[in-house]
Amino acid sequence: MNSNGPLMEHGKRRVAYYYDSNIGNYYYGQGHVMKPHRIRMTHHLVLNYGLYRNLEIFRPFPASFEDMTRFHSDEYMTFLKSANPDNLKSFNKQMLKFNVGEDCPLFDGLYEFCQLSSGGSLAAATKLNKQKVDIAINWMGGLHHAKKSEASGFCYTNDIVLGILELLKYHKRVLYVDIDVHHGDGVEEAFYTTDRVMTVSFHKYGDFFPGTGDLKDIGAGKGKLYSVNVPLRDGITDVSYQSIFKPIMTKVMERFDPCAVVLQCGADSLNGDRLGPFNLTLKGHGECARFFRSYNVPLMMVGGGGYTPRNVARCWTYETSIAVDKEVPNELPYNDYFEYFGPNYRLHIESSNAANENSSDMLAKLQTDVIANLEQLTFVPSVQMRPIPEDALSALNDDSLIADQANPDKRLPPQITDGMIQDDGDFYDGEREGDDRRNESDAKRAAQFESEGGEKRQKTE
Amino acid sequence: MDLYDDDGESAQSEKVDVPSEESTIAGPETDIPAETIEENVPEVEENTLLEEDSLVDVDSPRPSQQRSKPSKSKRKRKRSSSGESSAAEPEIDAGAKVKGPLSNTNKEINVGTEFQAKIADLNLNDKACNEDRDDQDELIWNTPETIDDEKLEAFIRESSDRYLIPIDRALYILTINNFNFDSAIAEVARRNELKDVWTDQEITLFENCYQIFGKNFSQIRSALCHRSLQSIVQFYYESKKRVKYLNFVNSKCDDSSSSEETETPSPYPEAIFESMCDNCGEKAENMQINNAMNRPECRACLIYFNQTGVPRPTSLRLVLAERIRNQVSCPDNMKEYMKDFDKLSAQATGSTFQKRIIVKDQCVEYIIDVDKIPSSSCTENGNVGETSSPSAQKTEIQSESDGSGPLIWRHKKTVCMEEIEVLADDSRRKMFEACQHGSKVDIKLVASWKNDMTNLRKRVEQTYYDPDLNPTYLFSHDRVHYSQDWTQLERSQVIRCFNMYGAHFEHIADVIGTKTPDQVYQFYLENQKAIDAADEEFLADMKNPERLADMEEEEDSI
Repeated sequence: MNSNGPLMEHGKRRVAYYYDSNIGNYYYGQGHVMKPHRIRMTHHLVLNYGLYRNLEIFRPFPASFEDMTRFHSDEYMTFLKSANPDNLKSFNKQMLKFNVGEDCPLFDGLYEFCQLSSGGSLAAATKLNKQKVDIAINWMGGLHHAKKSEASGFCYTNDIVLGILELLKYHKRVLYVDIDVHHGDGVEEAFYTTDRVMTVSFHKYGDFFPGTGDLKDIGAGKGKLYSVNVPLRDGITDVSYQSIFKPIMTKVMERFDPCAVVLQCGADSLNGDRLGPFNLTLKGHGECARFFRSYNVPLMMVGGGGYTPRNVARCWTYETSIAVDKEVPNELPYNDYFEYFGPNYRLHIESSNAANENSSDMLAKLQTDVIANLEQLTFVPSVQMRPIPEDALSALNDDSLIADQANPDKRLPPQITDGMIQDDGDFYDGEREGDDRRNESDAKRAAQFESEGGEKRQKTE
Repeated sequence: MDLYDDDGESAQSEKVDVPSEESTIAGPETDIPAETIEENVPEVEENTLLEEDSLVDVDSPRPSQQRSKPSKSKRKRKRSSSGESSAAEPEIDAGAKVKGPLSNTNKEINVGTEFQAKIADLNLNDKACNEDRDDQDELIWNTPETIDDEKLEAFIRESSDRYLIPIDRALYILTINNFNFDSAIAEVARRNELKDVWTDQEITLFENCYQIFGKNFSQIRSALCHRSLQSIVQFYYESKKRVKYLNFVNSKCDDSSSSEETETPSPYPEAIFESMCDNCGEKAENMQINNAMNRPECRACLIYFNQTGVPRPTSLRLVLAERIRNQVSCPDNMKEYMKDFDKLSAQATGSTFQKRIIVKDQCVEYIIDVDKIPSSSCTENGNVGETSSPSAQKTEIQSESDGSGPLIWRHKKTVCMEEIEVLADDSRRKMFEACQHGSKVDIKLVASWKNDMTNLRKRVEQTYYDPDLNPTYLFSHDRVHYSQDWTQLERSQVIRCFNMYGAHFEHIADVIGTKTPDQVYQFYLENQKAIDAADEEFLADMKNPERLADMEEEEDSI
């Protein structure tokens, strides 16, 4: 079922797009680099490009307390629900305990923000489980640093883990790929000891937040070898990135053979980001999405980092166009936030001339080490088989059984004969009405006789 | 429930500390056992530090603002670098005080049931998927296959441009109208949407609050009570493309949210005062990470640790005033002037007066007497005239000095003061001598000077005298030294003059200069034959053709 190369699509790919207009009205605080407004800018750009003709646009329901406590602890979620800037003083100990207050400030509407972010990913996962769509997009999510009982790196609730837990209900194996410039430590920690989820992260490593994500971190217990980390350096370019991304991910898809893929498209690995030192362009970043789209696997695309809002909106709009397989022009259409995209008002950004500290030797060695770990994987892990209960009225669906049990003296029912295709080599009298061999009025039958006659004459000679 | 118990414990500990502080402040009069003093000393120090911090914050709003700035910049830096550990270290200290569980601060992936997710069992029954849970979303837009793209585009353009409805809302209206464009556009036209319109008064109020609070939208919301926080954020982003809010920023204003924090001293100072050194507890600017002990330290503590491998003792801490006192030194450009400071600051012994240069005719007593003369006495002495004698002057001076009053009491003199007096005394003495000397004038000498100057002036005037243009006889009254004897040179000159001038005796005398016209006439009478012969010879030479040719050649060459 899986194809390892790009093929022409035999059918239209159904893409679901999740957005809530309230997501852009939250504000982390003065001077904070995380701006939820970037998601609204992305949405306006997607609509004004006309991509809605190829999308199914949904507004997700906010996630409930029970939904979010499937991963996060009750104590932590109670704290997020209760605390707000007005009653800050009575939550000093909880703030220290849950790491809320510095990188992850308490702002008005924090709990509602977490509900919208997690609700989008949960709705996307549910839609993929029901197989109603092939690709689900939730740019409101991608908060991959949040831990079970701790906020981290501008992330409070880990919507990716909640979405993957939902996918695991009906999918044996789920692959999580992280192309944010920061290591996806929250998702990796959540699935560090399980073999049903493989986490792959391409990130900058070395004196950089969060500090985890070394090549030697490969999982623990049953999850050993199911955590893949690709540590990179500053200034990586599109060519360098794809030279390490495609070989590794091809190997991962080959050995792990996931039933669903979750792709975190953090845009802070682009050139010009406020925090990230990478040097990718939209084409290099979008090539990762195009890679997974070429596989016929259910795909969930979530947002993530990205601290230059105009470039984040450009990147996610371009990746939405890749998901729906529609070319978009480089000139930006006019929208409510057109002035934010100055001074050139173009879709694609240029790469800078920063030094690329990722030498080809280093990348080759990195690729060799990662693939060596992947080679040690047992091929396609599975879940313990369980007896499948018998379906009621199963005989109605089996056409061959009906044909075998039919009375030869009676004519077959029309729902059987409508599906029958007569074999050209069949010489016996069939059930088809009007099949009168003696008249030979069928041109097709006559042609066959002539060819058969020719063959017999040749044998005689 | 455990949290409340911790609060109670901290409150009790605070109550215990207060009386010990009071007793310590009272001083030595209070009788406290030595053991008690030793135990309470570190706690008192800690409380003192807290109080000092709170006092500094309360007195001036400036430090609170300064503290907020590094925290903001550090927030960004922490995100871009591995600042997680630096933030986590104070949490451990605070946790130790609270005695509660804290998150692990290692840079590792944690393993355990507390960190990993619980994965539910796989459900292989495909039909159960539809029954498990309902769709958690609401369909906004789904493009049907039979829709007309041109009509759709026209509908969207009319809805968004004419009726100012967002695109996704217009798509939703089209969906609920079963993709009937006519009924959808009718509903769009009829739709009386509740728009979030800001009045001019609200806009002005927002801009004024922005100047004061910046992007602190919670504070701005307190001024715009009827606006929700989300409405304020949305208005900010929509107006940001028109208004340049950076010009509004006034960083000098105090942020009230930070002042709220400073009003109530927090029991966990490390979590708030991020710039404090973990080792010595002092506030420092250049915080660096001590990799061995994994905590932020100031530069002094870090250098000490790198040199000795042991954390720097707290006894080596220096208060700011102490550091200033120890470090102050004389600037280089001022050292030159401070060379003789010690010598000049010594006490005067009167040796300066004895070392001074004494004039040949004067003695020490004379100088001392002169010192006490008022300045007006110089004029009187000047009027005395030439006939006054030194002894008479001395008598007069002594008589005047007797009339002066007693000396005024003074501070002890330094060498510097003494030298100043010596210089003043010498200057007064020279002025006196100048006045005395000025009264003696030698008239004869002056007359001779005048005569010399007059002669010099005349010579200067005669320098430009042209003897050829002015005959000598105009100045006949001048005395000229004439001699009766004729030298050989004079004879040859006179003969040549006769050749030139003929019988004009005045001109010839003027040219020779040393003979009078009469003498020239007498010479002519006595030597008339020789003069005539020389004249004829001269004329013959002039008529010679060879000479004429030579003269022509000279003219050609010229």
